[in-house]
Amino acid sequence: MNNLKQWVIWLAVTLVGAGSFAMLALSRGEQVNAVWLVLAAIACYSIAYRFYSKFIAERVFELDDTRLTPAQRRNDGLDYVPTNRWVLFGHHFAAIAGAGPLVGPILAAQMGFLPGTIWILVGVMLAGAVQDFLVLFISSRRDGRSLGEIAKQELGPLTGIIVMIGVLGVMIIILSALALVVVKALAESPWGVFSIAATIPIAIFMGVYMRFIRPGRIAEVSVIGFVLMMLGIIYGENVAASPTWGPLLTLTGPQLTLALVAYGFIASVLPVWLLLAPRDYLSTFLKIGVIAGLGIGILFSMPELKMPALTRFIDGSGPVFAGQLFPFLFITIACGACSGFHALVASGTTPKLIEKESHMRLIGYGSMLCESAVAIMALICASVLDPGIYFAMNAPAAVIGSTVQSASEVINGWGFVITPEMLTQIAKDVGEHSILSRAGGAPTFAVGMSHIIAEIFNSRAMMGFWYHFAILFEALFILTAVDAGTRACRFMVQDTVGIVVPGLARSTSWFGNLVGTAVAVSSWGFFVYQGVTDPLGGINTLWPLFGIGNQMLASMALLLGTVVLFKMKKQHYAWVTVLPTVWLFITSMTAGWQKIFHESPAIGFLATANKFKAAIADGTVLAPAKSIEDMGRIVFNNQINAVLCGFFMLVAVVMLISTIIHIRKALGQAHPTVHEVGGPAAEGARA
Amino acid sequence: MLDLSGILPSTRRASPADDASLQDAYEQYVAGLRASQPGSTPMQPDDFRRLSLGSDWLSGVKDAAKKVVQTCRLMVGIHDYEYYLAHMRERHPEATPLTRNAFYRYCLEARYPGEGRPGGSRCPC
Repeated sequence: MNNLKQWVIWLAVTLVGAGSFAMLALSRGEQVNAVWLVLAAIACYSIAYRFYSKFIAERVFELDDTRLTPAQRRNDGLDYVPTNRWVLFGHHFAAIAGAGPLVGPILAAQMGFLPGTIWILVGVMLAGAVQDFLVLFISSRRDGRSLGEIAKQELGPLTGIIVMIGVLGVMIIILSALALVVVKALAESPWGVFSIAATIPIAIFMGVYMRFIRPGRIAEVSVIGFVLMMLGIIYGENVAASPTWGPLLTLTGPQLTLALVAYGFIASVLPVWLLLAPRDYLSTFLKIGVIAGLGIGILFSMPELKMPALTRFIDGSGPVFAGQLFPFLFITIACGACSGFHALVASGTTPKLIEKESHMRLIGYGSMLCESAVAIMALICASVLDPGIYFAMNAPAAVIGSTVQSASEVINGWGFVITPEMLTQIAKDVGEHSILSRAGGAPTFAVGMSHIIAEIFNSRAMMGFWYHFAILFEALFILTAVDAGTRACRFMVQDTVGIVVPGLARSTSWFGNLVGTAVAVSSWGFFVYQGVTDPLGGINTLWPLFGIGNQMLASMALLLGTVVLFKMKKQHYAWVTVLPTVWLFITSMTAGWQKIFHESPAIGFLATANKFKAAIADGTVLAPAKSIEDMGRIVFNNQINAVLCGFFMLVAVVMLISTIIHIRKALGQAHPTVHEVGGPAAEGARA
Repeated sequence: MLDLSGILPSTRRASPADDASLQDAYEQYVAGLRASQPGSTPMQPDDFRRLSLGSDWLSGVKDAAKKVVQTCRLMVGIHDYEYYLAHMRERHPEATPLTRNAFYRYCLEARYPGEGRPGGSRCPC
């Protein structure tokens, strides 16, 4: 009887999901309500969690609650603590959720909402959530070791080093892409610049308060910080309107880049308690609050999706990023579907806090489903806008020009109706001079979010506040990531240098700190500067590069997991990891290859470099560049990008070869050869 | 599908921290009673636990609220100090535990990238 009831329930869920997909896919030419998208997503997540994650947990991993977890074995009340599963779920979700799922889906919306939706859902069910769950499982069976250490242990020291260098490369690119998002959002926006700049003294005040006045009072200090920040947004409008402060805070892209590089350098040599930690508190709580609020907002307002299901740009001629649907959609939407960085988080603090092995299903697989839901919300935010507004905000100035007249003319030519008055009106609504060519996701997300909120309250009066609130939320988050990421890079640089010159590895001196930080900051600063001076908007170049790197990292983590499955003698279930690995490998390799060698300068780095080289030889200056030196720089930048892209591909291929060697070795063995800690036989008393 | 046993009060497992504070409260109650009314017999520990937690519903709400606070603190890397104290009292009674302030500083340092843990504990993207 109970069984029958289960069947009926899950049949109903399946039908709702299938029906919602049919609504999304089949209603061509008319607008679809966002509710169908939400329903389709919820149905997919429920089915995947109930059936697929259960299958992985019980059959593939054979999670065993009688086995001691690292938290039970090494419980010290500090780093290893058995934690309630819901508490840990919240912790893990907060650790994996970032700005990535808010940017990728918005850029991908240029192809219509349907391709993005399908990849976000299918990708998370079969690849992303599997990867997170897998790495969490592997790490927790190895005392919570980090990804690099596990790779070293299971695949040998050389592969371990390669993984580490790969991570460093992807880290630098993600920092530059994120920093560029902030620059794009704040350029020529005095209101935005003021409200972000105000968070620096606010955070320092919070840091001092928590260090010396009332230590550990996180709730109290976060509320104080939040109120001050909101005042910053509210009075930011007046500051921006002031004749003295307004022009002073109206910064161009290159100026903002320099400011950001200087900020990144100073912030990451300061002690963590002063600036990083308090900013982190604000951004974490704000992020969770915005995600929850936006989810509720979408359910309440039930907006219509104005973006068509598919646009003509699936052919690769899109203005936001170049390249066809395959492979570029799959690397543009990285984080919401599958993110390699999660392998680092899932082998960080979370495995040290797991109370029982069976909890990993909720924490590993479940958190990633939630992250994917964030990506779906971002996609909805981009799709509720008029497509004309979306393209005006995301197409580069080189394509649509820099006036509302030229922009609306070009966009009308693409078949999306927009008038110059509409573009002026929306800029006025959100309190900006112009919304043209603000690629990078944050501004589009902000306009979409303020649009949804305006729909709930049926008033556009507060749109300016909500727009700057959303910008602040993303920028705050990204600045925290830039600060923490620069520190991480510095230690990775020191570790990497330490392999060659062991004496330099553990340099705690001020000099070592400053040099390491300078290397880290200048690496990402180089790419940001290159991006900001790029007439095609920069995001165009950097985001695909990041996507390729991130998907490579994910496939490397999945390869590691495949080796572990073979070593566990579980090869008959290896398709669980092989299937997503093959797909990620094909898409990221194809994309990487096209980014380097494609004959169209819009896509291929070398084609661009050659085009400019040829022009230099002729002595002509091609547009964006203003002089022959500019031209030389463009050639150099594109060559660097090609080298970096090739490097990511090389790292992945080396990892693949190493994997195959180890799989063959494991197949030759009759017994499991994994390096697990604390099997059921090795049961000891709780330490 | 969703197992809510961690939140619902019926299957709630007492953590060492709960046990310890309840034990303290019981001892205080016994001492207080002996001081004010030397002749009376104090109630049994089980009865005291039942009464002191109030109704099941209320303790459930209290417990859920506590978990929400714990979640928020853990989200920014601050572990549970009460749990740590109880753990130290139970397992290492001879050692001096960190003070609340030192514990907080320890958690703060451990959260961000540093010597030996370059990865950090969060996703930049």
